[in-house]
Amino acid sequence: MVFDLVELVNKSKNGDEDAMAAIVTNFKQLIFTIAYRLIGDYDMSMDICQETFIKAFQNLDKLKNPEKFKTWLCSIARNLAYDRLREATKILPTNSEQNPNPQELHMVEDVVTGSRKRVIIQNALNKLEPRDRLLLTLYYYQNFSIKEIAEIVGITPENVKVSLSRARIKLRKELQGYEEELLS
Amino acid sequence: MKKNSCPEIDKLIANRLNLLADNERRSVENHLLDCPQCQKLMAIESEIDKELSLNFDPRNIEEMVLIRLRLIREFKPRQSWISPVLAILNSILIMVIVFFAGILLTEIWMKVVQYMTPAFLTGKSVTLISLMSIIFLSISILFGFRKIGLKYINF
Ligand SMILES: [Zn+2]
Repeated sequence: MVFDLVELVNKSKNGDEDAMAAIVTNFKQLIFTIAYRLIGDYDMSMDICQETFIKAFQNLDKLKNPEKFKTWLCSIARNLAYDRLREATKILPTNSEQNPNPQELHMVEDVVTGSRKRVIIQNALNKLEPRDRLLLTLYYYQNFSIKEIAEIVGITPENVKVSLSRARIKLRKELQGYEEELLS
Repeated sequence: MKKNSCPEIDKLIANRLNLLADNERRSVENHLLDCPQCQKLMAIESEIDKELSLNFDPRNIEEMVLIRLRLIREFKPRQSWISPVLAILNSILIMVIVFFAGILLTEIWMKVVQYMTPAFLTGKSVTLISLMSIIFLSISILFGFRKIGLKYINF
């Protein structure tokens, strides 16, 4: 079956639940990945992921151009995640290197089938600005154009590449000392 | 130890992101061909890239999203053009009711005052008490109606 996004969006506007389910299936990995990379917590990301779709379906009438559904959806996820970050800065694992939270590590391993490398990368990501985390996530998630990334992150398209390399270099610095583990 | 001629890690990363000018890119790539240290750095970079390219799966959330949407829809009436119109009519109605209720209450209060005012209350304090009670009543009526309005009309 061909995935016709515009048709599915229009059907969802009329409350077609099969169409909605198909949209969720198609975008859930993307939205969950964004949420998880931004928040670093499995349960909270799960929550944001569901809320993103609920909010999107509730406000579908406001989306004038169904072609833009993907970037629009990502922006909803971004806003929800940013809100959550603002609300809960205290419980976020920003200092997990010095004080690793075993429960959190377990969750990270659980989500991504138990790799130490994944924990190291996510902990380093958590030390970057949310904007940089979002930028890297979108860049490495396939099929985003520079223009789309710029729109979701809220920067100009000309700025994407420079900001991206800066974010990537920052990440590299946060990973200093973990080189051997990353190569193992 | 790094050789002196080794490019900065920033440059190596920029090269991976295709950000270098042609001549710079060529020199970095030539260097990489025969520098084991930089090759190792690049191997680390590619591990990082590999990890960053992972997608995570939230498993089956479709049913949950649909259930939550159904619940929300049951408790919230569908929005349409009628809602704002009803809201405006509702406010006008409230204003009219409050206005007439105010007049009525003033009349009643005046009658009560006329027959029941003790001698020690002067005309001035009676007027003040009347005014205050009218304001309080108006506010409570307004809030009462607003609450009813909110229940039936989706603002
Ligand atoms: Zn070198």
